[in-house]
Amino acid sequence: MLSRIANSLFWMGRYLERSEHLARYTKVHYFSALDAPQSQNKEDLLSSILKNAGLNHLYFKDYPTINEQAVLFYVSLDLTNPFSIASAVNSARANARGARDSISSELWEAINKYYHEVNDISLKRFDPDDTFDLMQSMIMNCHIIRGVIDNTMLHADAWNLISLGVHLERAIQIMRILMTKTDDIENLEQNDLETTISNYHWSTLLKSAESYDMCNRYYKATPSRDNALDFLILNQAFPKSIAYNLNAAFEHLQKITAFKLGMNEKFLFNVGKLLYSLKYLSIEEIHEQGVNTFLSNCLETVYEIANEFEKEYLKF
Amino acid sequence: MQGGQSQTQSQTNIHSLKGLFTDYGIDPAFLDEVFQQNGVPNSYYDKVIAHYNKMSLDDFKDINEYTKMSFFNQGITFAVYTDKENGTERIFPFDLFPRIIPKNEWEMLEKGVVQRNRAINMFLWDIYHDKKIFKDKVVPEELIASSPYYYEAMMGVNPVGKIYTHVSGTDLIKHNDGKYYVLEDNVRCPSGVSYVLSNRDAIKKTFPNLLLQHNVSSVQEYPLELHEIMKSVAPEKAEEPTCVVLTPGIFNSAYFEHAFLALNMGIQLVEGRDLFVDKKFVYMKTLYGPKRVDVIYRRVDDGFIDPLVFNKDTMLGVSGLMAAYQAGNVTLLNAPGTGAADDKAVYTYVPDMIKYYLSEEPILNNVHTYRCELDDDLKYVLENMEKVVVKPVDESGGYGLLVGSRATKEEIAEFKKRIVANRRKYIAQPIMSLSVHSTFIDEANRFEERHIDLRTYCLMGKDKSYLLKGGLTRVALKKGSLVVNSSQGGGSKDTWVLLN
Repeated sequence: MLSRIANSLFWMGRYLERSEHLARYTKVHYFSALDAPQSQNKEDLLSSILKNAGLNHLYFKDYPTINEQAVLFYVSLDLTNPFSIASAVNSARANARGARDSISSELWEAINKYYHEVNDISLKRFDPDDTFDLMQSMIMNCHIIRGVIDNTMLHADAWNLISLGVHLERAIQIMRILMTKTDDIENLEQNDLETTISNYHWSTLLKSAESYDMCNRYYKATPSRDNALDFLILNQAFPKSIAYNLNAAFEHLQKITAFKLGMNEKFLFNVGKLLYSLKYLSIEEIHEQGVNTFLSNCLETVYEIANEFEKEYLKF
Repeated sequence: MQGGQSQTQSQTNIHSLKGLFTDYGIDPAFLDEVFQQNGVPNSYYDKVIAHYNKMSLDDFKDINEYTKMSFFNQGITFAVYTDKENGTERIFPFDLFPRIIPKNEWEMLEKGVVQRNRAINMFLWDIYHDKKIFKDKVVPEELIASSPYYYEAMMGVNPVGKIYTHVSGTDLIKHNDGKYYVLEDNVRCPSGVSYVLSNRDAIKKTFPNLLLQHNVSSVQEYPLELHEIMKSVAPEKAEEPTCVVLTPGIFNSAYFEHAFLALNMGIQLVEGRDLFVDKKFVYMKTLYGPKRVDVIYRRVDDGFIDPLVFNKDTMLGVSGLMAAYQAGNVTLLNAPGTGAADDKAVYTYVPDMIKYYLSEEPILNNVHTYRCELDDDLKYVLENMEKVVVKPVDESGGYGLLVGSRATKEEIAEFKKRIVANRRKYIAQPIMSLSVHSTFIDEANRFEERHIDLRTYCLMGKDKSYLLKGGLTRVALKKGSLVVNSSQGGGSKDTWVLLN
């Protein structure tokens, strides 16, 4: 496995996963705005979409005000915005193309199809009425691609690298979603929040991570703050939770690094450390630290791990 | 061999044509591969015609659209250098009507192409060693010495098995005299073979029954044969040779093909930046440290493979690669410096080479070529510009040529100046009337005649050679055009070599 190819595969996994999370967050928030309890206005939800994509400052460089059409286009299809979903899809495809001979034809075709679907739309005029179809097709494409990754690739180096990218990115995206939402809710709480509205937000949060049904099932109760956080941060068996994804990332890392002896394995140590701290952590302890402080520490650690890994393994 | 550009001549509609071909026009100036002048198809096309005539035009168009989409999704695309960023990827237009070559014709072609490439290969050995052919005054030494692809660095280098041209792509046309002519010998890593395999795949998916009714030679073994050829020319010291494909990268027009071949051979696709040379051995940078590379099928042009020897600004090559090659520690396919033999001026001497090295009569015809550096030839060319195609000797891809019959007076005047200024750079050939083949034309909504040629793929390794039974039939999609290159609006067809 060439270092350059390894780099492409790792980033292909990350960009794919990123595109899906951005698409789902946008979809869920845009549509929940349509029947939100009264005190929820559309503008808040649109700015939440921007915040989650990390675009709340960049956006205002190009646009003076929050505007539905502009926000949706900027976040999803604007190729001049390097952080748009379409840009993520293009990067995923460019990486897949660079590693074309290391992945299966089925995988390449699935990614290529995804790319063409998104780019076909971005060439036409964007209509907010198409938001649902667009986001839904992005999400479905990602589901299909992950299925193809798992079922047409040899479960060795290349697969481990893609999967590592997928799980690290998913952990990162879930952290970001949690941070954006807790922020949103805290802002509201200052304005005297009713329980219905708070619960509404926790539901939206869970839907943004495709976790709503399973969370209800697991706690046999409708979503509350503690349930939602406990489920998405600490649950060991749910594939969207931070703990689950760090665990998966750890396993893939171990397999990738197993053949290269005597290297500085600091990042492996760091993932393990974070992973095990989550295993024996309760939601109450997280509250003691403050949810956002806890999450931003986690996020920083994961970014550091990813950077260390790239430096040691993926340089070419 | 008159210029067959009879656009004015009216095309005849013939009553025996039926179904999808009812209004198919047959131009008597050209040889139609499918239909005879009276509108009766050649017998080996009967089943295809019958099959198409079972379809309505709408059905056919649906299938056509579906096939295009499938090429797009598979990423079977090429890049066009003149396009702006957004339009850099295009499908190589594929025509669903296959070109059929009967068995007896193919057998002659096969012998002829292999004969030609054997002679060219011996010529390369000779010009980089004893230069006997110059001493015996069969080919003038100045011709080679002035070639930009004749490298001092290759003098005395002994490629494994004496093979220089591991992969060559001889281009053939069928003239209206019914004979095949060689148009070009492409011995600098010719491209297009991935389309041969993809086209066959497309036809299989679209018309499985049709293929089943014919006994068509398979093309799928090409990657395997190429891999075998690569292993056969590995440096002797390498026991389990590591073979790789070297690509300029994803922005190269043929990147799809590079990846396709690597994937199908099961070997690594590398870029220059993945390789380095240490103590005259080549290594690739892997996840687990350096790994030695023994055989490189490089799809990077000579001038860019090593900044220490060639173009010093190249980012595509590997520093020290040439030294490793000269030391015999790595094999390059094709060898550097093969361009000295596929120069269009050298082309004219290939029949002489065949006689000289093999003591055989050439099986395939050469197109008569005027060498502008010769006074008599130059005079003829300048006086008959509208009857000839003028080509620069050292360019490929259909760039920089002038088809006299379709050029304006200004273009001709401009070209005359260019020729006189650099006589060695230009050759001219009579305008050959490439045969035509029924091709579905979207804009016209029907099948029409279009000019075609045939690129063959010949592999040579240590003690073995192989010619892909089939090849790339290229179609000039523009009405009346003779330029079939993909970069210039050409398309392609699946090519069926019949086994009986």
